[in-house]
Amino acid sequence: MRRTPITLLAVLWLAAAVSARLAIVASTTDLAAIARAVGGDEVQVGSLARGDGNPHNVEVLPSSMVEVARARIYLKVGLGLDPWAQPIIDGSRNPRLRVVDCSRGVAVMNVPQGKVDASMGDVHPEGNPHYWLDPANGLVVAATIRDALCEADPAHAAGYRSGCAAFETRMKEAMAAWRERARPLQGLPVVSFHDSWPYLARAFGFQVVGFVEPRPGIEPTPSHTAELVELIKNRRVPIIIREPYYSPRVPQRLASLTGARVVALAPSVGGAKAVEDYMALFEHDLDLLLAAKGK
Amino acid sequence: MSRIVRRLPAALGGLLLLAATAGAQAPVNPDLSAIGDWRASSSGQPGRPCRGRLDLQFHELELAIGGPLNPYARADFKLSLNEEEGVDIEEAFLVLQRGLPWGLQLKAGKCLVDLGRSNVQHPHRWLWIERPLMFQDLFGEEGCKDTGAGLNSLLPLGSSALGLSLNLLDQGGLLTEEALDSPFAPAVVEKAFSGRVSLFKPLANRLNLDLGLSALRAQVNPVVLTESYEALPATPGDPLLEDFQPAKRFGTVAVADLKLKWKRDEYSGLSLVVEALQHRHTVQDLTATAHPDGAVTAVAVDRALTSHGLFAAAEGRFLKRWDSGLFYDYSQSATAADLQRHAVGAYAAFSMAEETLRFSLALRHNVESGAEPWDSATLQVLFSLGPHKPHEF
Repeated sequence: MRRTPITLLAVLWLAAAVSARLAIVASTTDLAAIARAVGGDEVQVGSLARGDGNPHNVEVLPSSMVEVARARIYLKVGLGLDPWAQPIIDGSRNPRLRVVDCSRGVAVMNVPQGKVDASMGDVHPEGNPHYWLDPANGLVVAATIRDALCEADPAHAAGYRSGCAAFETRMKEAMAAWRERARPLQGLPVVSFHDSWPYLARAFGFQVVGFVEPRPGIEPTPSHTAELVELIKNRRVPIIIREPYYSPRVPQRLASLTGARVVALAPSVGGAKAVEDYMALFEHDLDLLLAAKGK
Repeated sequence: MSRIVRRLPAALGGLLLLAATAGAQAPVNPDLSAIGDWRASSSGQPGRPCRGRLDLQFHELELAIGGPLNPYARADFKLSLNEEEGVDIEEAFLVLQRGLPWGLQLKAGKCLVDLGRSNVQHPHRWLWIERPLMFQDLFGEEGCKDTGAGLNSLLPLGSSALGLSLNLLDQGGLLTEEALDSPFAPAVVEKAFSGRVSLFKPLANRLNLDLGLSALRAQVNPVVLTESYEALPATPGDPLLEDFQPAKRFGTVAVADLKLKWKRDEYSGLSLVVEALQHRHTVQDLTATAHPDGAVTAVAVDRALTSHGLFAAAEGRFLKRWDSGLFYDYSQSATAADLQRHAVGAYAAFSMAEETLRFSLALRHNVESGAEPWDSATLQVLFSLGPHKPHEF
């Protein structure tokens, strides 16, 4: 019986030690995966969007607010992808929370010129926000996260710096290998459902020449689909890329009319069963693209 | 119509001023949104002047301006412009979001009272179009809204979230303007209180449950004039009337609500919403008696009353842009239990591109005590300009 208070104290100490890990919540699984790679055992990371879900459209849930209430750092994608994060952050009532925009320092693609309005569809005025799909941008994001972790938790700064350096080394080795493997994809014309892939296209060398959506965020129309059939035939497009959260109906119809193959790539970590970390995301997508091309 | 025309310049002037200053301070612009609500409806309600005719109406224009005031607080202003009410401040409040102890948030201003689930939502959220009858009967078509201040908190409970709120309200919305015009209306209206406890629980992947219990205690105008009083009104100076104290009668409204939502994927899902209301208060029946000497005296007798209401809707989403559902709507009169209103109906909606343009059609079969049942149909076109709205649960 005398041991009970000691045991209780030990449990409390252990619980305190566990909770002493720096709590991070990220908008997406990709930012969470990079944060895990940089922070290692010193951080506890959660994410709000599912890897196989549409990151543009996440429900504002009270359970997400309480998760953010416990966090010290929130990692935002930015560039207008995750406006749903703001009511969650506000609802968390967390005065200690540091919000980190992970698009900082990224060379953003497809920034629209001139006036942007809703007649252009769901266009992001600050540019395409799917930047994590270029592994080179993963390095920029890792550095941003490293700096945020060092600032929030200086006691473990050395660990975060070495975690980031190790991630960078692994990524650079992998990127060289991916570039080599992706040679058959150079200049390959593809069609994608949504404009999610310009960064991956730049990294692997393929070309996105058309979209199933007539405008970003706008459902396919028969006339646009007919135009796309012509485009796929004329440009001899062998691959139609589909995000797992969009309906396969129109891509499959396009495929049946043109002979192209539909490939459901993982747009994020967790977007497919095998994709458990950031590096696995590129391995998986590259495997699928190469298999679809037949090399 | 003339009211709206008179007030429009002031409202539009304010917006133009805001727009003019916006260019100079682009990085700190508030969010500006406008939502138009156009309706075509037809009702077979007996006694209605335009019974069976097609009624075209620009029901409402809602202007919303909102944004952070500073790192700790935000403000929201929602103006409703319509032909009957002119310009109405639907909501105008500030929220002190962070900085208070224990994760509390303070909300102050004029706002919809978080009594149940639907009352706190703006009507353009409802695919069934009409406010549930129980809230219309108790608070009018605008629902329960009032000026006040409240504290709220959100506490973790495992993977669930427990929400708590407590509000001090000016009147609680139970005393309408008509009631205040009554000769028996209290000169001073006591403050009202409301509170809510809610539990949000993720049940499974993409399946969530939200339960709520809320209550409002507010002063009511309890006087019910019986037929004999109407026939023989008591004379002023009647000691009973002079001593009559209707000011200290209170009513309690309790609402239990539930929402169960399963979002199968980006394209389809199911949801169930149920709200049940109980209203308890005491009325005073004023009965007049004529005496042989010609005098008329009034007798007030307290009578405790309980009334109920229920609203339930089950809806499904399919092909991403289509929603359809069924609903049941019931309300019992607060002062006469045998006066009841029921409606059953179906609705379907098509959203052209997210929340920017939506067409909804709602069909209702209405049954009211002492009246012939009738059917009604409303086609609503909602169109909104402005920043994306988050997709709340």
